[in-house]
Amino acid sequence: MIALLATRLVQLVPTLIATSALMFFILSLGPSPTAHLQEFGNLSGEEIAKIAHEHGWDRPLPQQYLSWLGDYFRGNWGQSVRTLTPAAELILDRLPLTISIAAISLFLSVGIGVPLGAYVAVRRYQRVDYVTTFITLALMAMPAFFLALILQLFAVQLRSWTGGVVFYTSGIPDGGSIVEWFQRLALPVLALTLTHIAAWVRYQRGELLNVLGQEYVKCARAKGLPEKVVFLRHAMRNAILPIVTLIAIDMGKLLAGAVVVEAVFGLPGIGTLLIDSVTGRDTVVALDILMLVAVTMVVANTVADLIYGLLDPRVRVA
Amino acid sequence: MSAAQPANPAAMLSTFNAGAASQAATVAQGGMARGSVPRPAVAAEQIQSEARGPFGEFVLNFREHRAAWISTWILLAMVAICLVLPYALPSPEALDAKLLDARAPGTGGHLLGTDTIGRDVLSRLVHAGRISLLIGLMVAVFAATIGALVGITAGYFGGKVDQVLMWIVNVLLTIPSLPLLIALSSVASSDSGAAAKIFKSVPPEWRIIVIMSVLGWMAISRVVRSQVISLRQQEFVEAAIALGGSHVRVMFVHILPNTVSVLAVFTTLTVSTAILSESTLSFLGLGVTLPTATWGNMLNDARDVFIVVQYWWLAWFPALAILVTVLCVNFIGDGMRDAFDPKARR
Repeated sequence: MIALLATRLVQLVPTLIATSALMFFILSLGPSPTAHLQEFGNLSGEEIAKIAHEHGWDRPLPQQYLSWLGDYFRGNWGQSVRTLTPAAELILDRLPLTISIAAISLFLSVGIGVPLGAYVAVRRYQRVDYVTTFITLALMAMPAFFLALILQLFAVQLRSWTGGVVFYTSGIPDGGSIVEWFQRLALPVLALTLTHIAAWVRYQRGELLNVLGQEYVKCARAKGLPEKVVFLRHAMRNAILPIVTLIAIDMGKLLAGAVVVEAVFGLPGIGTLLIDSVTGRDTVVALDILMLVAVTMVVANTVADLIYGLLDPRVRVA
Repeated sequence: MSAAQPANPAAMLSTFNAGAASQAATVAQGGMARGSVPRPAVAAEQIQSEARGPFGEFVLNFREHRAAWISTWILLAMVAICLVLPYALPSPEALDAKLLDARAPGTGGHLLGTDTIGRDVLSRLVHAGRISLLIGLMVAVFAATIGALVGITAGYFGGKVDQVLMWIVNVLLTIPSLPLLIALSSVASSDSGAAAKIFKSVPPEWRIIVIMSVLGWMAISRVVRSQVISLRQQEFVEAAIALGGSHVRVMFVHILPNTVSVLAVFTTLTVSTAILSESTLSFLGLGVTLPTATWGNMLNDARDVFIVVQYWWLAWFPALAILVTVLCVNFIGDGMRDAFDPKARR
């Protein structure tokens, strides 16, 4: 276990360096930071060159990357060119909202999706299985933003039926009561959950069917163990192991999904900040967000590997 | 990565992502196909299958997968409509505006109505279909090409080459693709900078195709690699090497044709992922830019829920087009998986 921990931690370093370099170079292909200044038109070419020199924008790219990386890990995340405030402040300000949406959705999709997948796996080729299959397939074929739009339509309809606001279709959950917080976030969370739950149901169904076909399950049945024990102790126990790894993978998808859901519901989270920065040419903030997402994912994958190692001795031989 | 790992993360990832339809369609056709055809004796079946050849066998198995077979026809019909109908319809840019209002479906000679500035929705839908389907198809082809090249190189040479290539694949797969797509797409469509120079004269749909292909090949390379590793052990490959076949010859003449089953299935599933990603990007305003219509950016016009409440046809028709296309493509991928490997279907 110690050996696994050590290897994974050592592997973390080159991965993080490669990821950060990739992000940095992708964004450096875009407009230079001075493009913003040229647009105002009230600065001469020399003045712009001077500003560029002060910030080190005229240095070779690898050098810029190294100094940016150093700054990044020292916690100096640069300044937004749109708001002229520290980028870290902007991001940390919006982070709680995105994290709460994503975390609740993850909790719900695993909490409902996994048992549901197991339930239909046991009832394979029965009506409930066909219906679930049909719904999950449709959910997976639907663009996430359209699902969100349908939920908004539902909220509007609900409003005309009840005559009052039940769920909000957009807006900021600032302060307010817990009831209002729920009214504002229920639909975004539902939209995100619905787009993710399908994958969990399908995965769990397939995995459980796979395990149920294994020799040791047949053996357990042949021994005369009650079906309940076979299911819980032998099948389920092995079928839910990979969930640890899948949670890490799904976190990335949830973050991506949050971008879409926030855009549709007009929520001020990391996703909308990313879109605003990207369209507003705020490279500094965009890069910081991409880095944050990438680092989160790299770390999450490593942690998942380690937990898997703890749970399943077969993986420990790293 | 250890060999003792019980659940291969690569396989898991692909089931989790693309295998959506995998067991699903098996269910959809479940009991229907089986039992309806009387099973001939084994020997007779073998003789028959030899007479049919591998392709004939594939087609026969594929047709047994009812959902996939129907999907194929629906998709072909959609492609035909998108190719032919634009010639019979008014230009998607022609304006037939009622002041501050959109025509409802069926009024004023517009079968699916007009949008808020008076453009015919049906005409835009079929023009957009051309672009959306083109994007899906091209991304799949390019991603499959890159993925196959990387996968076969890694699997064939093994060792250091394999380690390095698969490390790159892992790193790229770790980063969620949508944020990366958003960044790349905005960089490529900006008006200055290095990327802008490259993409300046490229039509917007091809810009998106290039970006999505560059980020879409990793899953394919993984499945091809694992297939190649097992093929590499087989006698016909050793024979080809012993007979003095060059690396390139063995890789592309002897090994690659044998990966066609996984390659075809994953390429098909990439079509649906690409169509969905394009629609998401265009919906966010970062994909294909106007005046080129795609199903995604048609939905961008219907971003506001209150527009959709009033003019439902602006959102529902393009959304339905995406839904049907993606469902059909997924079913086809699934049918192909079963048809290539009839034994795996249970």
